[in-house]
Amino acid sequence: MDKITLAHGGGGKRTRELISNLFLKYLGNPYLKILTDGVNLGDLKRTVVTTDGFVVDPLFFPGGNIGKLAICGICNDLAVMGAKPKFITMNFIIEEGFLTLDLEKIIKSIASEAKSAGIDIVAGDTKVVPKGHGGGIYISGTGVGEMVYKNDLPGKIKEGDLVFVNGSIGDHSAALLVARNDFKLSSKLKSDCQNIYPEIKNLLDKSKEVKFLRDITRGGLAAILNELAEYASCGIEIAENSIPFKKEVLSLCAMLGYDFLTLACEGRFLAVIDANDEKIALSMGLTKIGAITDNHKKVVLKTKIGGERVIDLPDGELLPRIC
Amino acid sequence: MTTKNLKKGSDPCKGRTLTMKIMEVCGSHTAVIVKSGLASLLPPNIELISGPGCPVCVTAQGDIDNILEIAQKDDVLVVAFGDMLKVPGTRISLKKIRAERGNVEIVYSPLDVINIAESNSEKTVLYFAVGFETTVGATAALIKEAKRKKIRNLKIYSTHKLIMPAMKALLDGESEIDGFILPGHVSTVTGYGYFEDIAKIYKKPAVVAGFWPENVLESVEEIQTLVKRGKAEVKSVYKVVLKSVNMEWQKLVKEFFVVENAAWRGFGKIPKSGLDINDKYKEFDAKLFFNIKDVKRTDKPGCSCGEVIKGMKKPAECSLFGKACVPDNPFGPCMVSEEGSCSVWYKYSYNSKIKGQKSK
Repeated sequence: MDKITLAHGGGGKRTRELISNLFLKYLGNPYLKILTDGVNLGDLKRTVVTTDGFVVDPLFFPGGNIGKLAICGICNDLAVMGAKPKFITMNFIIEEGFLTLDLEKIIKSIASEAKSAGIDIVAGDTKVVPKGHGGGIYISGTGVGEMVYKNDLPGKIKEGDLVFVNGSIGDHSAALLVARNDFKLSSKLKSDCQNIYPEIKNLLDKSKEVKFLRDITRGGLAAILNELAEYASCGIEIAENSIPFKKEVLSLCAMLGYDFLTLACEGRFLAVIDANDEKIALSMGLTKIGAITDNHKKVVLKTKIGGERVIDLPDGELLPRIC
Repeated sequence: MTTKNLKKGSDPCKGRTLTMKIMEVCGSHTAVIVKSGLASLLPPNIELISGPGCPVCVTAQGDIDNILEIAQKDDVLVVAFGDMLKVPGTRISLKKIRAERGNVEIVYSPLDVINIAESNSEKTVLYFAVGFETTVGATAALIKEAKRKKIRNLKIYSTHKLIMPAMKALLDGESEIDGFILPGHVSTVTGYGYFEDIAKIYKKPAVVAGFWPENVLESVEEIQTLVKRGKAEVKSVYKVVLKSVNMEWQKLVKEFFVVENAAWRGFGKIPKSGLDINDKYKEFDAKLFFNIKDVKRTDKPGCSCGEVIKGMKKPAECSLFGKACVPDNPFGPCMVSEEGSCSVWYKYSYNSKIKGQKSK
């Protein structure tokens, strides 16, 4: 079983082999083991559901792979709703000829990421498409979580509320750009791909009022800030000096003409919290990057030299297949 | 000068108000000036105007239409820089052709074109070469490598341009420019002595700047000082640039190109301002291969890009700006490129965006 063949997707003997030798071996749990067409999740309260697809290129990148990315991506979508991720279902669309060893690596990452996130993979499906009809492997999944936060998110935002992020911006996109090797560059950059639920749980537990949470993915910080301004019908003032970044990311952007504010992350979130909670957020290691204002309805960057400019929604095809 | 000296409305002329129009002729400078917020800090008597510094913007509509026509031929694969894809032709764009026919590829380096030509040997690969003095070397390297590898299916459509003749054309016209911020990249390649005529013939100061806001500001200060003293000189505050004219670069241009009259958007034909492929390498010349006789003078009706490029109109003064012409759906090329002044102003300008909102 060194390569995936069309027979592995045929529903017969080879499919069963694939399921028991790989999927059940690493991901097995009472929900999955029964191999029924569906699964009863029991009683859930204040359920949150999300779904996401993953087509990243390359499949293996510094700091992760498509499997880890899928689990983190789904968990993060639930986390920013104020929910604890509990169950995930996964679909694997595999291209004929895909190395079984690579599939095993991906499933192992899924298993270890799921374990540390405390979630169960409760249902799954495998399809094999003919060679040339897929990018190696695509994964899509649905996540189910239970609300742990008292309020629904997003909440009501007002002037003076503060904007925080949990780490350097753009590492994921930048690491992928280098990993694709189109530019024959090398760097020590790693994707920031991680499950942000623990950090978010901590913030939700300790602060009096969290008003807005969003994971910073496609479109980067620039897109999320604009979504926030639109949602809250307010302006945002961001201090360029305060936005955390890695030097390598900025150099890469300068070289290739990207704005690092538009680069995607996979383990970063933006939080809007009440100004009274500032100390708590700072003590958790979050970085304050700006504040909500009623002076205008745009996202305005206070630049390093003391000037001002607008941060606009990114447009066009910035970087395809980053997640 | 450090940024500490910068305060909104402060006047480095110290008491003496001298209105000054300074033109930057490099799209990267335009981007730095707006993105860093420098534009929002300058006193009102200093006006920075963007000139013909964005290669995508200055490319004549006729050249773009020629490329688009070739791109719709069977068995042609077009290779271009990303920005070129979005530039609207009279009827269609490369982006639309790519979506319909799938025969357009983006490259970051001209040398990547070699691989594309080799792996598509059954097709004619058309490389759309754009850019100023800075990027000429990379196209020369492509021609050299293609010759060495005896690549027969590569054709290069050169719209390479020289910035110096365009600056002269501006000064020969009715311009009110008091001085120039000279392009750091071009000067690095040519040596800034290349711009000596701006001072000698046209009696205007010109200062080379690098690409960080403090350095651009230094060049503005230097230009002001020169204007105040009535001195026309070519200088540099970008320390890496040498004055002496780079003979290697000139040799390279001579070997691979011939200087010809060229059509520019907004200007029409400017004498001795474009680089066509030298006869020695004519097997790569797309204009010969596809029998392109001329570039039609067809700037799009209603589009002000020509005037914007010449510094006669500010982006916001165009009636289409932000309405019928936005980065997502550009009407003219200045709204396309990250270096195009309309796109830069539309995306980043505080004033053009905040207008109409509650003021402080």
